[in-house]
Amino acid sequence: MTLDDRLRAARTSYRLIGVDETTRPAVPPGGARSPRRVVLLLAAVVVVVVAGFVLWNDSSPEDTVQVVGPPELPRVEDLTEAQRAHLVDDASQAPAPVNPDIQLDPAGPYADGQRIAVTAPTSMYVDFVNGSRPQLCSVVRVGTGTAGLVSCDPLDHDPSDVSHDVTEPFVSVRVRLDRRVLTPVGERDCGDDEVRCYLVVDDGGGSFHASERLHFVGDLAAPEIALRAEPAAEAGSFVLRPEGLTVDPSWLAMRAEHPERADGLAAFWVSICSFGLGERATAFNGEALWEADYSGQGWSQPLLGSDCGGLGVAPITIDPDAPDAPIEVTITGELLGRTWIDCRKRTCFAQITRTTDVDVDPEFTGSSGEVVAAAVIPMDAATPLAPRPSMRILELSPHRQGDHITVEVRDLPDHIQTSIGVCHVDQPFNCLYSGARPNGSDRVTFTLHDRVQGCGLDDCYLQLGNLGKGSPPPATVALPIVASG
Amino acid sequence: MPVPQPALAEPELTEAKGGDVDYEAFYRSGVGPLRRLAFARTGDWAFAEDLAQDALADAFRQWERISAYEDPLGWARRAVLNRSASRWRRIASETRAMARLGARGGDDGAVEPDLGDPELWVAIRSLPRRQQEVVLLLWFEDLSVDEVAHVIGCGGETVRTHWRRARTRLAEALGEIDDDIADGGAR
Repeated sequence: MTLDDRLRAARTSYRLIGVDETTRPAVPPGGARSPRRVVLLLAAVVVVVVAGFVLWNDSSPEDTVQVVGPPELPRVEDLTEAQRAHLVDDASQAPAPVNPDIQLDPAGPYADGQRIAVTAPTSMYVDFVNGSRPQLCSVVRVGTGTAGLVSCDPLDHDPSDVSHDVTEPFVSVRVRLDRRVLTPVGERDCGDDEVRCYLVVDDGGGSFHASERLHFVGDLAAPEIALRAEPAAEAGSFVLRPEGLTVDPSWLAMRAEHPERADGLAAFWVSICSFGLGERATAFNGEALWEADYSGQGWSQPLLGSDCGGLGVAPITIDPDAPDAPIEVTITGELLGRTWIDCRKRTCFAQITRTTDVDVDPEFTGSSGEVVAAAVIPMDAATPLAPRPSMRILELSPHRQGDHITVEVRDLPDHIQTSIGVCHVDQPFNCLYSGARPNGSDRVTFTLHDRVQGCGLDDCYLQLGNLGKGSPPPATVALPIVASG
Repeated sequence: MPVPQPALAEPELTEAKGGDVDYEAFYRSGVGPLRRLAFARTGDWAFAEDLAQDALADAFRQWERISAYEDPLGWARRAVLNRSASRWRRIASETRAMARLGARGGDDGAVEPDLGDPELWVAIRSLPRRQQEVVLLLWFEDLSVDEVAHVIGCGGETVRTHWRRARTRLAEALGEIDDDIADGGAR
C-alpha cells in the first residue's frame, strides 16, 4: 500500500465524521449585532517595512519629489493637492487616541531596526493572527504652524511571531522598528523632533489605538539601496531610478539551476501604492457591497495604512541583470486596490520588493519577499486619467436562465484580461465566471447558466473579475432574472 | 478549560440580511468541519468539541468584523489550529501527568470517531506544525492551495513546499515509498 493509498483511505474515514452536528450555536440572549460588510486587510501586498531608503543624495535633481538632505519643514502652501489630502491640524497629536493598554516591550528609546513586542488587549478585538497588523504611523510637522502630515504603513510580521494564549487577555506580536519612514513629503526620520512616530493597531472595525510616541537614539545608518522617482515628459509618467539594487543570491542560484523557473518567479516586483484609503467602490442596487463608513472612529483621516493596486498601471518589471536601469512607468487610470486609488488626489509611492529565501525542491519553488526601496511618485493634479471600466447588458431586461446575453465592456485597460462573473448579493465572493474574457472596450456573449437559479429581479448582478484578493470588482451591472416560461 | 456556555435561547431568525441568520448559517455549516479538523489535530473528540466551540464563540463575539471576511470559515479554521497548537501542548502535558498518577481522564460518554490507520495519524500528528496544518487543510479538508495559504497566512508556494516536505516525512515515517510525489491535493 502506497502513501497515497493510505492517505486516500484516511481521507474517506475523515470525511465521515462530524458531519451531523446538531449542537446549538452559542448565541447569547439578545442576539448578534448586524454585521457590517467592511472589507478588511486582505490584500497582502506590503511585505516588510522599508529596510533601506535613499536619504541623502547630492546628485538628486531639483524636480524629484523625494525629499533629500537634512529634513526641512515643507510649507503648507507648497504642498500638492495630493499631499494636502494627508493634512491634519495638530501635528502634536497622535494619529489615533493614545491607549495605555498598547504596551511595547522593551520600553523606548529604540535603536534603528530594533525588534520589539507589541501587546494589545484582546478585548479590543485586535487580531494579529488573522488580519490586524500594527502600523507605523508618522506625523510630520509642516510649516511653522501646528499642521502636520499623517501617513501609516503596516508592519509585517511572521505568524510565528504572534503570541496568543487564549487564557490570557492579551495578544502580542513582534515587529521590527525602522526609523526611516516614507511620508507624503518623502523620507523622514522618526528620530527627528519634527517627526512624531507611533505604533497604531486597529480592531478591523474602524477603531484605532496608538501607542505612546516612539523615541529613538543612536545613529541612522546610510541606506544601501536608494530609489528616486522623477517626472517624465508624458503626463502621468515618471522614471524610477534605483541605486544599489541587488538580486538576492538565492534567486540567482535558482535561475542558474532551474532557468525555466525564473520565468515564473521574478527577482523583483514593483507596486504602486497610496497613503491612506481612497474612495470605497461599488454598491449594488443602492446597497454597499463594500462599505465606506468611517464615521464614528473619531478621526478625520482614513488611517488604514497604505493601499497598493493595479488596473491603472501596467505591470512593472525590473531586469535582474541590470537592476539599476531606469524604469519608465505610466499611470493611465485609477488604481484598484482595496479601494479606488486616484494618485492625483492622494499621494502615491512606488515600492520595490525583492524576492528572497528562494527555496527550490524538485517540485516547487518557495520564496519570501522584502520591500527594499520606496519613493513618492510625482503626479500632477491635471494629469488626465482614463475612466473607470464599465459594463452594460445590451439586451433588454429581465432575462431568463438559458438566455444568451451580450455584455459591453468599456475602458478596460489593455493589459487586463478578465472574466465576467454572475453573482448573488448574498454571496458576493462566490460568483460563477463565464469563459468569455473581454479586452479593452469589447462585447462578449454568453449564456446565463444554472447560477441564475434563485435570482430574482433585484438580487443578482454581473461583475468583472476581481483583480486580487480583497479588491472590489472594478465594474458591476444589475442582472434582473425572471422565471422561464 | 473554559467552555462556552450553550445558548439560553434559540437565536431569532429574521428575514433581514446579516445578523443572527448569518451567524446561525455560519455556525451550522462550520461546527462539523471545525470539530473534525480539531479532532484530526488532537485525537481527542471532547477536546475537539471545545476547540470548535471556542472558535465559534470567538467568531460570534467578533461577528460584525468576521462576517465581513471573504472566508469566515477560514478564520475559524485558523482559530482552531492556533488554539490546538497552544492548548494541546498543555493538555498533552496534563495527560502525561495523569498517566503518571495512574489516573484517567473523565469520560463524557461520547463515542470517539474512528479515523482509521492509527499509524498514519501518529505520523501526521508528529509532523512540524505548518506541515501538519497543510496536510489537514489541503488533503483532508480539500481546500485549494490559495485557500490554505489564506488560512495559515503564507504564500501558495510555501504551502506547496510544506505539502511536499510533509509527504516526504510521512513516507519516511511509515516506511513507504512515496510513488506519487506530484502535488496530489496541491491544486
